[in-house]
Amino acid sequence: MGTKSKWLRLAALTGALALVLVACGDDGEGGGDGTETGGAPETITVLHDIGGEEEQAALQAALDAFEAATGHTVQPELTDDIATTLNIRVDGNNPPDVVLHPQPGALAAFAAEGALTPLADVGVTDFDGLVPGMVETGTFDGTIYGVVVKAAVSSLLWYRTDLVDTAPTTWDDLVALSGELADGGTTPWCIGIESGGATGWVTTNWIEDIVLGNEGGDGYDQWTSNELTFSSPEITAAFEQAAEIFFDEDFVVGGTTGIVNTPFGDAAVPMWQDPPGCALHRQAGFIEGSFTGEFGTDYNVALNPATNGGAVFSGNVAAVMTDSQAAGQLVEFLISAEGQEAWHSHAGSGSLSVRADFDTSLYPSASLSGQGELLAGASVARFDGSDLMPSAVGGNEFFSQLVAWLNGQDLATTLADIDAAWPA
Amino acid sequence: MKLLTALLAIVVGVGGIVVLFWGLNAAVDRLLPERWRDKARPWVFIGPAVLVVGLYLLYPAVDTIRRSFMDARSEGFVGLENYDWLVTDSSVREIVVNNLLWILVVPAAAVAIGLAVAVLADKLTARWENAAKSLIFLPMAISFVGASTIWGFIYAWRAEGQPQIGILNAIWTRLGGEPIAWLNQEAYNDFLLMAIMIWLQAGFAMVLLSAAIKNVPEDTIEAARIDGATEIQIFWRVVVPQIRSSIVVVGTTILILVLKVFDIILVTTGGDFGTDVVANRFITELFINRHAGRATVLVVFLIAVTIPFMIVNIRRFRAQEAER
Repeated sequence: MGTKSKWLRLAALTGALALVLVACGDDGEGGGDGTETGGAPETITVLHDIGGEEEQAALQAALDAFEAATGHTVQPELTDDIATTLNIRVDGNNPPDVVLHPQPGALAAFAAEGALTPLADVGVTDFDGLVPGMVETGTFDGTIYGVVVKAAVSSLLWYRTDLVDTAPTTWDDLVALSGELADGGTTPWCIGIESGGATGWVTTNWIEDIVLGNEGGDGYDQWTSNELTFSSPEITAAFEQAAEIFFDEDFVVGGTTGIVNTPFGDAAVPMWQDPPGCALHRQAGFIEGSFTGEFGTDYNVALNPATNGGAVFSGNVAAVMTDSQAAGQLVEFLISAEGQEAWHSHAGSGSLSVRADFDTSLYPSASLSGQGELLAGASVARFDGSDLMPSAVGGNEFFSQLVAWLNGQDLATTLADIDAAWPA
Repeated sequence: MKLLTALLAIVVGVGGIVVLFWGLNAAVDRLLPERWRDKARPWVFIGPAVLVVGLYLLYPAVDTIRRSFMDARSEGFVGLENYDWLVTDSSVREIVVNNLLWILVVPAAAVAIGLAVAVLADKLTARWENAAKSLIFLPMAISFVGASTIWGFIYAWRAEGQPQIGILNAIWTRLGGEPIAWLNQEAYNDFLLMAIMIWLQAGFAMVLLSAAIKNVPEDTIEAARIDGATEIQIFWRVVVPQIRSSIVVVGTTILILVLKVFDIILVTTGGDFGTDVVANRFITELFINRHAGRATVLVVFLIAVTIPFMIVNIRRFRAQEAER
C-alpha cells in the first residue's frame, strides 16, 4: 500500500498545482462585455488580413496611437485566410471584437445572420469627412454595420514613360495604343492572374473597371446586387470588351496561357527587363513594390481608361462583432483624422486614407500622393465588385469561371455558370 | 512559464490517466459484487476510450448525416434537395468522375511500382537493396502540401523566351518545343496530379510488399525453379498468389487515402482546369460558399464510397494476421 499512497499523494499534488497555474495563468482575454464609454481599460481583439511587414507596422502605429489615447489594449491577430478563420470563429461562438474584412459581401452575410453589431449601438455615429462610398460600403439593409478604414485604388494603369507619352483616357484609345505598341515591336501588356486557389481575381478587377465605365455607379450597384445578371447584354458586352485585349495574341506577354499561369506578383517583371517585355500593366498600388524603375522618370500611373473617370477601390471594412463599447471607440478612432494620419502617413505604408480631407502630401511616397489624388478626384468610386458579391460568387465562381474562359470555355457557359452560383 | 505549463500538462495528463484507471479498477473491486467483477472490468477499462471515440468520431458523423438533409446554414429541413444537387449538378458529376479516375489509377500504379521495386531490390545485395529502398521511401517523409509545391515547380510554365524554371518545360524547350502549361491541359492534368500521389505512396507500398515477399517460403520458389519455371512465371504464379492479401491491404489503404486527397489539388490548381475532387469541393462549399448542406452531402458520399473498401481492408487484414 506504500507505493499506492505515494502515487496518490503525487497525483493530488500535481492536480492542485495545475489548478493554481490555471487560475493565475497568462493574460486573460478581455473584451466581449460592454462597459460604459471610456470605462476601465479593456482588451480589444482585432482580426485582420493586412500582411506584409510595412503594412503591419503602419496598422500598429494607428493601434498604438489609440492605446495611448484611451488606455485600452488592442490585440491584433493576422490571418492569411480570413474567410475560413472568421467562419470558424463565428461558428464557434468566439468572434473577434473588431474585424477588418476585405470583403463587404461576406460581412453582409454575417450581418444578415446577426453576427455584426450596428455601429450606432457601440457609439460610432460621426462619419463626416469621409470619401463618398466609404460608409455606403458597410451599410447593409439600411443599417450601418461597418466602414472602410483603409483603401487602395485598384483601377490603376501603370505605364513606362519611355514607351507611352500620355496615358489614354478612353478604352478605344487604350486599344489603339496597344496596337501601336504591338506594331512597334513591344508586346503592350503584362497580365498575370495566377494566385493558387484564388487564381482569377485580377481579371475580375478588369471586368469591374469596364462595367463601372460603361454602366456608371448605378449600373455597377445593380450588377453587384444581382439585379443585372452576368448573362445580361450589358455585362456580356463588358466581357467581350475585355476580350479585345485578353484574347489578342499579340497584345499580352505569353497570350492567354501567360495570363493564367503567371503569378500576379511576378506579372510586371517583363516590364523591367532590358529591352522591356511590356509597357502597360493594370493593377492596384501594391505592384509598385516589384518595380525597379523610378516613379515619374521611368514609369507613371493613371486611372484605367476603361472606367471613364471612375475608380474601383478595395480595402478593409471595420465591423464590430461583439457589443464592446471599447471596440466602437476603436472604429471611431480609425476613421478619425488622427487615426487615419497615424496609419496612412506611416513610412512604408502602401494604402490610402478614406478621408476626403486627408492631406495627400503626407503620404510616404510621391506615387501614393498621386494615387490619393486620383481617388479624391474620381467622378464615381465603388468598392471592388467581387468583394461586394456573396462569397460563393465573388470569392469563388467569378474567379474560376474567368480562368476557364481564358482557358478556352465559351463565354455564354461562363456567364451562365457564374449566375448559377448566386445563392438563392 | 510556458515550459513549466507544458511539462505540467504532460505530467498531469499521463498521471491523470493512470489515476483514472487505477480509480476505476478500485471502484470495480470495491463497489461490485464478486461475480460481476471480471465481466465488468474489461468494459470499465475500455469505457473511456469508447467514450472519446464516440464523442469525437461517431457524434460528428451522425451530425454530418443529419445536416445533409438541411439547408445551407443547417436551420431548415430540406429533405433530399442536397442529394438531388449531388446527382444532377454537372460540376459535381465532373468531380465524381475525377475521383473515379483517381481511384482507378493511383492505387494500381502505386502498388505496381512498389511491387516492382520490392521484387527487383530483393535481388540486390543487402547494401544496395537498402539504398534503393530508402530512395523510394524518402518521399513519404514529405507532407502532401510540400510535395505539391515541389511538383508545382516541376510543372511550372514561363512564357517563351523567358528562362524556364520548371524542369519539365526546361527539358521540353531544350528538346525544341514550346513551353507547355502542363497543369492547364484538361486532357491529362489529372494524371499529372496523380503522379504526385503515386510518388508519395509508392514507398509505402514497397515497404509492405517487400516484407510480404520476403515471407514467401523459399522452398516454393526453389520447387518452381526445379520444375523449370522462368523468373517471370515464378513471380506471377508463385510469389504473387502468396502475397495477395498484402497487395489487397496496401491497395485499399492507398485507396482510402486517395478518397481523402484535397491538398494536392488545392495547392497546385485550386480545383481549376477540371481537376477538382470531392474533398476539395467540400472545403469550398463549407468555408467559402458557407453551404453546410452541400458540404455534408459530399462527405456522406465519401463515407458511403469508403465503407465497402474499409470492410474489404479489415477482412483481408484479419485473414493476413491469422496466417502468421
